[in-house]
Amino acid sequence: MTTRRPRSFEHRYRWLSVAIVGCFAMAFAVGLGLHLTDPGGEGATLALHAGLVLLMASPAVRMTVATAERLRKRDWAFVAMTLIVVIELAIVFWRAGG
Amino acid sequence: MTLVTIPIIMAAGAVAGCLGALLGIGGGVFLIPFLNVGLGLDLTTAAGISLMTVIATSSIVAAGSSNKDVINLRLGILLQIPAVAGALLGAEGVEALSQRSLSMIFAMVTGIIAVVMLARLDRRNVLLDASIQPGPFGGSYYEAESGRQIVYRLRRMPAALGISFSGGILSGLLGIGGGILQVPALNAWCGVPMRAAAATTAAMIGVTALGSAPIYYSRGRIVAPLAAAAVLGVLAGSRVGMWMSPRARARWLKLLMAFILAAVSLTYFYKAATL
Repeated sequence: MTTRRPRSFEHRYRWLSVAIVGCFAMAFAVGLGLHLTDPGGEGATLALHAGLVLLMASPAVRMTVATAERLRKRDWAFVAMTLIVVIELAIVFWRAGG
Repeated sequence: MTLVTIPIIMAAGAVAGCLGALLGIGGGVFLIPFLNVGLGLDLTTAAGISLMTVIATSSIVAAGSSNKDVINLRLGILLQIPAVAGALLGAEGVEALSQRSLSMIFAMVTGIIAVVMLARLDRRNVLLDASIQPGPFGGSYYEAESGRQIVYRLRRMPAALGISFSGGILSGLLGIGGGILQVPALNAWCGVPMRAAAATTAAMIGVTALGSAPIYYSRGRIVAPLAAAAVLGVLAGSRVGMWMSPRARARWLKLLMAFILAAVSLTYFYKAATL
């Protein structure tokens, strides 16, 4: 009988990061391929901008996951510092949208 | 933009990504002069593309495993508080500055850091006694180069916060990662070993870049096909840089960084003088 070892936070965090990189790289590769065959086409624009949005979302996603783990460990100082950064980023997105 | 531009930018992104991951400074400081001076893109467009590559470099560092013991997340998130605030201020203020002023700022900052790096080439600033407590923002890791456990404690926290704020402003103004200031300053003034400073900064500069990238994006300053080409290049190049990082000697990393920064500084002094 084999026992399944629990996956560590580092393991999950790393694979999440790999998945995010894979997603925006795929969007960029598809978008760039379409752009080279049909410059400025709707499909190319959509894929390239999807890639840019995914790329910009990636640090925020990683930070959220890391904070969830620290919350579980009751590392309140880390959580408080992250909260301040999140508030700052919310202001950035508000300024970008305004 | 021609079809030839895309592979050229991809290759430039690969070189910038390799050097960026190796030195923990995002690679923007190498890519911006190439796009701006080499390809003739305006400084703001180059900055927008560079910010995307900075986020990509940071993502690939987080996805890798070679530096995971060296990255100090707690110190990293502390430094992001002033860095993100600075990046927001920089992105808001960039429109008010002329291209000549931006070039001059870039030239002065890179020049100063190159001199600081050379002046402190053989200073290590680490506590070699492994029994010493690293404190809330210090850390420890095994260094294969010396075969010892390296323990360090963060010194001069106000200086670290101030430098991160300045790095954030520079990131927002010029599209670089902010690591150009943080890595040498953390090493030279705050007692953080070069490798820990570089790995921690590389993992966190994506958050700093996020402090200004949405503003550049909303203003239409990010040209999607060029940014995509640069990012794909960076993804390939940064893998090579990460592979090289644990094998490179700290002294050579510092020398390489100082040499490149001096070259960038001279280029931008010349550019500012001729604008």
